[in-house]
Amino acid sequence: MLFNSYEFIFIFLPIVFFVYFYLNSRKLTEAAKGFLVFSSLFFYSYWEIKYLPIILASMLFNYLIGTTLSRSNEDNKKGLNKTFSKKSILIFGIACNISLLGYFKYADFFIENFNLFADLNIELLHLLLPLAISFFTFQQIAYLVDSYKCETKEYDFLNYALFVTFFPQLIAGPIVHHKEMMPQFANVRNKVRNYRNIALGLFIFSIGLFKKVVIADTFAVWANNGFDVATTLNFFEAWATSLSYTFQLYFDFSGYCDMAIGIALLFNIKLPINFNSPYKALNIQDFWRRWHITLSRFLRDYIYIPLGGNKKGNLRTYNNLMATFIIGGFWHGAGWTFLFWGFLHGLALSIHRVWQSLGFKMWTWLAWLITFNFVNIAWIFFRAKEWEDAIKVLSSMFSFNNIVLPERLQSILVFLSDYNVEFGLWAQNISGTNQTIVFIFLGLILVLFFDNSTQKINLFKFNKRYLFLSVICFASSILSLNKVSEFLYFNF
Amino acid sequence: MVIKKWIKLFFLISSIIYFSVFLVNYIIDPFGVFNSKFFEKEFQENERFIKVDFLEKNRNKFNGLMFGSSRIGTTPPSLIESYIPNSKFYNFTLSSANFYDYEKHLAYFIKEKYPIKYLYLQIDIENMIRYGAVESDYLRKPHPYVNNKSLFNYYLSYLGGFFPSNIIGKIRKNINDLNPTVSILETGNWYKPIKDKALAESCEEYIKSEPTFNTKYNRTIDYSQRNKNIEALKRIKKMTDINGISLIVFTTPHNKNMMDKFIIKDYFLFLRDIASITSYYDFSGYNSVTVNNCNYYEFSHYHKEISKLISAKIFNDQSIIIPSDFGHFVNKENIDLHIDMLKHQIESYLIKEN
Repeated sequence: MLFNSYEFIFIFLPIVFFVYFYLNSRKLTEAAKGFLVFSSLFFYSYWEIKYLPIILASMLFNYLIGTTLSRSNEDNKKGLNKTFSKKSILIFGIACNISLLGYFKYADFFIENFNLFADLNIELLHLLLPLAISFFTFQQIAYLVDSYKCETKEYDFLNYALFVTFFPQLIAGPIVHHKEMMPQFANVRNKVRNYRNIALGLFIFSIGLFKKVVIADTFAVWANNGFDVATTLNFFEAWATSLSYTFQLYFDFSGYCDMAIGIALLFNIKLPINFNSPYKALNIQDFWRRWHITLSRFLRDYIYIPLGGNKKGNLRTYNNLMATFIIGGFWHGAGWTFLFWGFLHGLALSIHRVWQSLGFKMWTWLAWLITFNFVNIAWIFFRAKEWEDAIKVLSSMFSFNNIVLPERLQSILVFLSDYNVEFGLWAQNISGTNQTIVFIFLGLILVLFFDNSTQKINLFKFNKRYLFLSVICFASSILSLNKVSEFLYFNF
Repeated sequence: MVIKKWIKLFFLISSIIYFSVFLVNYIIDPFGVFNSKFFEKEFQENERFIKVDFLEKNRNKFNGLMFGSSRIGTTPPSLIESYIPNSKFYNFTLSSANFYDYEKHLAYFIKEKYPIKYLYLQIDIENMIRYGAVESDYLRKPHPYVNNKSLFNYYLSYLGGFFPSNIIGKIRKNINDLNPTVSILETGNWYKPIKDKALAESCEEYIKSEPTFNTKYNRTIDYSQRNKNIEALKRIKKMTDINGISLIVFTTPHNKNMMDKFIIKDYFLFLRDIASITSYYDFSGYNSVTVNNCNYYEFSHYHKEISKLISAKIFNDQSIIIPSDFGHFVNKENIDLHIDMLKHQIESYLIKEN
């Protein structure tokens, strides 16, 4: 089920909300929790019920391993703890999780490349990727590591199931820690309707819905046409394509996260923020502190630091950075373009580190321009389905012999014809119009000069201004809610 | 403001907005899908919905369909019926239609066992660059039956959408009593009475006032949708063969100014591709019909009189005088000769123009 659908907003969410708090008001707290888990599994299965056993099996397995790990410090060791060391249980748990992810997400990628290198013809498995597998697997790996470090308390399976399946964050994050969610689920004060949280939740949900339905889906048309439909692009079409995707991805994913945060707030649960105006970043390190923050946190805590972080000399630090980001790229998708995107970011972070260590400075505007353009160009590899698509967009962005300007400018700029500039439909290959330029310009203003959703939450007041903003965002989004469009991060 | 009041106002104002929009969309009916008829004259109808809806109720009345973009809309079905005994045609002209629409609708009509025996298919050269449908284009959203989707959700999308320009357009059209285009649902074709009158009074004056006849266009339309178009045409041909439907294919006689927009090598490739799949009549190019602006409403739509010449050529009607350079039967055997002829025609035209 999509957050941006009539059935979710007008049927599923109101029913779950009212039944959950009704059960709690009757002191049936375990039943309320059970209902929330059931609703979350329904929400998950609504898409494709055949994935349900996978998430159930994954939860049960990780719960057993996690419980075993957290009990291993006890003097009276039982079961697996008696036979195996704590570390070997952890390694086994992580290996099983990675194998599950590897089987569903990466099997065909490896077979394809093995076929290519060994000149074989092993048939591909063509497995459908279970929804949210990358997210719930990472979340549970973090849980196992935390259990190993004795940073988790023991809760029953129902609590654990709620931690994994809680529907606002189940499909595409934010990737949450056991320790930041479980106390909230257990807190008695959170089982009572809190009107302040409801209002805040409605406000942030409306903003997120607007970002997704009104802004991201508008950019999606030009980005999709540029990447997937057009066979050739002129200079401006190529820039419009890449910038449209840059804005689409941000508004789509941050919109989803805002909706998740808003919905969770209705249930008195605070999810961690995932975006903090990433396109305002002045260097690539700054960007990763602002973009998909919970994934960056996971990569730092569970990959970069265990690899040695920056504690083992410069060369090792650069290696660790590269490895972390290549893994990060691969997590997003099974393809060389994703690996290359991760490599580019790892390289940029390493270069930034060298730059910093040498004590160089740069003008702020230039630092922003370089960072933004690097991110924009790197997204091309992230988005392109094939290398050819990426090359098509990138080469046209830097080719000055395919410039087409709007026909109406011909009378003023006719002298440019001597420099191979043509006049005509400048954006027809991406189904663009002059509106495209206006939207890109507005997108840039929004990401650079406006407060982000987190800042808006902090500034929120129960006054007419915020009421007006919420209603406008909500109403205009609902009125645009007539086409099904998935969130981009559902693919990862 | 008290928190509870804030929440109540949020829902109340939002609800008022939705229901107002629902009501306005139903009453004004900017795309004609509700058939509410509070406003008699249509501004921009969704032909894809209205025509399928009409055919659903009259499915046994027709055994022939005319497929094409709005450009085939000036052809009265009676014209084709006069050449094919016992035929009853419906002009299924659809705004901006392309192979995607033709294939989808043909597949639907066959699946639903419509008694189709003839398909009169007009191919625009402009289709080189077009394929598919835009989900958010309410003027061109296919009937939900065709896409196997829910009718309820379809209506809901038209109730809950925000269409200010279409609403204003329809109100203005009804208040000012303007009716530049008359569409006849029962036959499917359309005509433009005001423009017809202006053309009849003075073609020269009409041409001067029509901007598309007085603009110089660049050759920017390429053949970027080659694979999709050709595969769709193959499937259409296969469907007609399997289901015993007579397929009559011809290309649109685009006005010279429209022809100026096509990249020539891509245009030739498109003609070759069509010939590799089916034989057809080619009316495109710079011939004596297409270079005469008096035959057109604007550079995109030809006049009803031209549709008579087209059908006379296709059905070999000796009683009508057809210019010798207008319309050529093309198949895979003679396509090279035909392209050579077009090359000469274009060269002569360009020399003359310059």
